Amino acid sequence: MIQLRDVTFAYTPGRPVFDRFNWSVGQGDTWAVVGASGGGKTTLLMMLAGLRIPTGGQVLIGGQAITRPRPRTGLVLQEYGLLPWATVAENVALGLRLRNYYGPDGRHVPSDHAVGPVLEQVRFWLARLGIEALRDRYPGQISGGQRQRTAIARTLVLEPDLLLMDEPFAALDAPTREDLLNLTIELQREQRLTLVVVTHNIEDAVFLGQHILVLGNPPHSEAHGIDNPPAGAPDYRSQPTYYEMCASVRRLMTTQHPTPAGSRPAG
Amino acid sequence: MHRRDLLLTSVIVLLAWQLFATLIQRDILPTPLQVAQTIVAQFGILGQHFIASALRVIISVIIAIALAVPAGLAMGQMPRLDRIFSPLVYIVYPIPKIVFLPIVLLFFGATDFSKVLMIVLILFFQILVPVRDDAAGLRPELLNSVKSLGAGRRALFRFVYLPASVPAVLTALRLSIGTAVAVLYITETTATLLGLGYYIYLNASTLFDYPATYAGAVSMGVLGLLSYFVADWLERRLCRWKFAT
Repeated sequence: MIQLRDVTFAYTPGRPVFDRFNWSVGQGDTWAVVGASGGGKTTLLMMLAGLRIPTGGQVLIGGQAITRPRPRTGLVLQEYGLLPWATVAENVALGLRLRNYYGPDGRHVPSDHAVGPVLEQVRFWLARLGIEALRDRYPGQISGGQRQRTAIARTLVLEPDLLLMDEPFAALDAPTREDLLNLTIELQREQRLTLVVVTHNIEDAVFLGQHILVLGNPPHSEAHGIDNPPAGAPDYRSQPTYYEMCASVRRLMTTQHPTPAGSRPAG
Repeated sequence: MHRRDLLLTSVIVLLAWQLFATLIQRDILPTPLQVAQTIVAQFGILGQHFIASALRVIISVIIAIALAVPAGLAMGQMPRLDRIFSPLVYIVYPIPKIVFLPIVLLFFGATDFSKVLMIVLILFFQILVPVRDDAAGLRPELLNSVKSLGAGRRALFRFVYLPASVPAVLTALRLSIGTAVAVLYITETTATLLGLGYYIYLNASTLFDYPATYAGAVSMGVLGLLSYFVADWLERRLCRWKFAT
């Protein structure tokens, strides 16, 4: 599904965050990307989303090199991604309205996209995410968890095959976070999504990612992946193996690439 | 604001006016009743002047929005453009635009164009600056997530930048429409035969008809108030999300 081939990315010349980085993600895989802030997690996700273009090498998704946002890739960000002047329902409908605005041009919109009834699809996803009752509220009037559900509904209504999430649960309280983690896993299975979630939270990463990519300090030239097959099982969090996994991810995060003196953090 | 409070305040103002007029007993301060009688008697003529002034305000507002919003959005989106023009804006913004009146009159004569141009000059900068700042202040998270839904430049403009500029435009209008009407008055006192400014000036300085002068002033007040109300009403209607709790 996703292939990074010799990807190099630098904000300042001579100080790459990624240096000939190779990584691949299989169709339907669930990956959690974990690392300290400034370690390049978000940069990686933005490259997958086509919002940042590598300075060298290639990002391939479904065999195609990414040079701009790809219509079948969904992106959910930590916060503030919703239009403040639009209601929940209008926000969820935004992607569909954009598609009707451009038509199936293959550039902004998948070329096989049929202009369908927006309302019905919106209603379905509002119901699926349990935010039907909030449809006429504005983002400023609802809680962080409800906003995140809105953002997820807005993305899934476009039927993506790849879902990218950047710290989607970071601003939420613990019960809401757990709730949304479970929902994310459910939806990933239901929609057969390939899922890449970026997080600084080791527990979330271990619970969610059947594969975990640990990013230490940049520059990254090797992908340190860990397999974590029990991820997503409802009772995983109460198993000893869960804590062991958390401990080994933490170890890997701290032992990998000791910080070179004066190294520059990069988002 | 409650309608009842507004009504009550109007009544108090009228009563105070009546009181002063009765106390002072001079021609230059007619009572509200006299002024009201004049308004009724001259309704047709006053109405013509009112419409002429109102049209100038409406046309100016439309032109100012049509010029300032795209310019503000462009400057807010393109830092390079902003770097070129913002020093100019910085210099011109604080200048009271009324000082340009003689120059505008020299260039364009005592035409409707000059009057509209003066109001546009005032409103343009009042709208440009907040629209630019709002566009520049849009969160990258918002822009990125809308881009990821498939939006290109055109759709970003239509679905993000344009609606984001609405509150700034309406707030700017609400705050500056009073100044605009004041400037309109001044422009209408010179070489024109239609407009409330002309009507007031003529009655005050040539005909010495004080009730008519006051009738004109009240009409001008009504014009300013109405413009303010329209901007206020539009803001409440178009920016519901700002008032939702």
